[in-house]
Amino acid sequence: MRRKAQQEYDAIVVGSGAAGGMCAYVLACQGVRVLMLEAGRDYDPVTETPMFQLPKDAPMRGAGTPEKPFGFYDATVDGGWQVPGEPYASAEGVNFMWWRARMLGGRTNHWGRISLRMGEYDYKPRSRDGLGFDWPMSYDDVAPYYDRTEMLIGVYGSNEGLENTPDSSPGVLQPPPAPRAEELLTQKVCGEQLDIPVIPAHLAIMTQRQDADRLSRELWPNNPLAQRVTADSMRSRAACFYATPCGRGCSIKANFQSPTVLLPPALATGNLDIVTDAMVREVTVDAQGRATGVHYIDKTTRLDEHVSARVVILAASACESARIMLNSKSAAHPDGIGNGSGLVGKYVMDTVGAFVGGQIPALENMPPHNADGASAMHLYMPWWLYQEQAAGRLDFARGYHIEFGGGRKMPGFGFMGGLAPFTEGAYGRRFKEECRRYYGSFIGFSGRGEMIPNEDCYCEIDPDGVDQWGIPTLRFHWEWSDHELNQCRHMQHTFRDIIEAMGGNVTSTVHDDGADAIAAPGQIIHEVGGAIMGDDPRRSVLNQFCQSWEVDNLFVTDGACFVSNADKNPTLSIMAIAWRASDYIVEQLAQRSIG
Amino acid sequence: MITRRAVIRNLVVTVGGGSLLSACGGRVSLETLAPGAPPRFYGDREMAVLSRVSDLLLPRTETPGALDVGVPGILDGLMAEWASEETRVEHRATLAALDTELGARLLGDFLDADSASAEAALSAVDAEAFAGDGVEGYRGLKGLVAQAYFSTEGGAVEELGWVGVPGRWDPCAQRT
Repeated sequence: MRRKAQQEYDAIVVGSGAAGGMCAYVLACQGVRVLMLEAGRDYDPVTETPMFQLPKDAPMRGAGTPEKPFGFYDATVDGGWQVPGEPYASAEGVNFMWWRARMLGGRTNHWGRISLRMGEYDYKPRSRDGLGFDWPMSYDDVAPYYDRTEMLIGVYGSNEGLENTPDSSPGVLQPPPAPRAEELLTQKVCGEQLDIPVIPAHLAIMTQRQDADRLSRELWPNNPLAQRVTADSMRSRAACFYATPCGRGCSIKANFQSPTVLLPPALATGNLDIVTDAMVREVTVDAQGRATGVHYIDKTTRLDEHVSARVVILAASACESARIMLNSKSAAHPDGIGNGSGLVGKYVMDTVGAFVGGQIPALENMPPHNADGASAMHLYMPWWLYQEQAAGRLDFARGYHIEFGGGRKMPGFGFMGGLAPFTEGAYGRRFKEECRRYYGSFIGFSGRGEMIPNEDCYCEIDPDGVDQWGIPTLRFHWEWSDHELNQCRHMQHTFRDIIEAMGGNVTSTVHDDGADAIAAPGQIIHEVGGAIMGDDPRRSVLNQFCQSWEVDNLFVTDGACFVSNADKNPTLSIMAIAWRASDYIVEQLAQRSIG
Repeated sequence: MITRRAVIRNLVVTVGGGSLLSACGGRVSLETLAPGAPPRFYGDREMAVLSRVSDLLLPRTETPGALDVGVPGILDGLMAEWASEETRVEHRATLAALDTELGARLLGDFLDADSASAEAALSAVDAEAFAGDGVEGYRGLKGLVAQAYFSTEGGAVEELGWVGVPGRWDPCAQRT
């Protein structure tokens, strides 16, 4: 997609993923003329998704490589933890892994679709336990935007009324798919023996077609243009047919990806232009230090281009947006735009991750059946020990949820990886029988926990590094606190207990030291923070509407604005917060109080 | 859902270490060795030993065997195009050690042994390897053969009964 800037723009949106896509959609629907700049290539999930191909059809059996860490078919057609020509550094002893999806739609193409709302505790964590920071807004302020986002993108799930696990408004969620065998067994054992709730997961996958007329009216009362483009887009989406892996993308648009759900209606308004292969280098300012536009490198010509607009919205992903701000130095902003507080790049957080795998005899010899389901999990365990934590009975302050799965999935590379130890000595017909017996009997439990922001986790401009576009690169610093490491130990022991309660055999190492179990920083690809919001300009970068305290026409609507990183995977909250910020931008533009 | 981390961990477990993850980069044009085409990685003896081991591990029964679906050719392609130099060296060493060990157990050439004797010798090597002794890299080799087999249509669909496009999810069990 390469439409050159041809008119005056009200807003430049940098990035096309969850935050950029949402801002473009909400702004364009309300008549704001938007130019979107995407650093990666154009990408069309409808024509480019290898939904039905088998491992045998792929080079190297579809196996992961440094270029395609999640295998040949992964929807990230360009990007990964390493991007050629776009390096980054880590401080000594740190192994930060920085995922960049260089493509239209960014990470929304590959993500897990897990769409959990942050709850009332999650917006005021410091008030509860004295650690980290409170958000400048409350759950109630964001709740209407969660509703709208879920209605727009299509999320399945249920309302269970559990502590700090918010319900959606009536008519918002789609029905969750029924659980599969391993999920039913896990639910039964966790409920009866361990008192761990196992409830329908919330995922941005449609189990039924959207009611386009009702939803578009409820989302956009009194806005015929927005109603029309939204309803048309909804009508073009099909429900999940329960067969292919979501991580490859979805050509029938049953799952949420920015290029299938946010960008088409935004483009249909006529108010959005998109330029891909546009690597933004810096935000430009006038003599008063107000944003005037951005410089970007046209990757196809390697030329430096400049575009102007009344408002600049950074949605390039948490650390990339921080990088652009730090690289935007001027007389008015000697330490980078909007960085008077010195906090740009600070308080970067990822999700705490740890895993234990098991083999469950009760699941052996399952008859052939459709275990694909909606590709991802149908059930999960929300954090269940709030009261124990509040009573001081745990040695870590914040919770985690559990994602789990197994079943008779498509045999791919790495398949039957856990099988070998169970087939000792087996050859020939017996080996085949053993494989049939064990296929579908393996299960894995992954914890996804909250990390508390700390002073030692940040990114800064690397004084020695530039990328192939001549743009200064980032250097990452990281240190986990005991809260994260102890939480990981708790995960390890809990997952072992679940597997054993199911009568299973643990097949991976259970670590007693959380440091041995914890995923590398950045590995879970939930990094947020770096331009945190707050209610004090001295101690935050943005206000609650993602607006820079110092530059009133500069907004940062991606994960960089996060003040905490609850265990509720960030994408849904990014979109809700971006929608809220976009409504504020529309208001401010109309009042001419910015731009 | 098996998470990203689990997938990576699974890969590491499967290949018996992280070495295969350090694959050579860039080129992606692999496919199964065409019938009659010369191997690109294996020598004649290696190819013969690997083929025999694959056939003994996954013979043709009511469903296709390892040779029917081209397992040796798949592994030849993986080693030629995907594996790092370190992995290649280890893999060759494993095949050679296995050949030697089987010869010693059979008091003759493994390739000349009848099926029953050869399978008995392999099962003994297998048991020893999983007890933590024996031929280094053997467990990884067995895993690779099995993975190559089950990544084919014959292995996945005919043998395991995996259903590619099963239609909508209508379970008979209800959540209680």
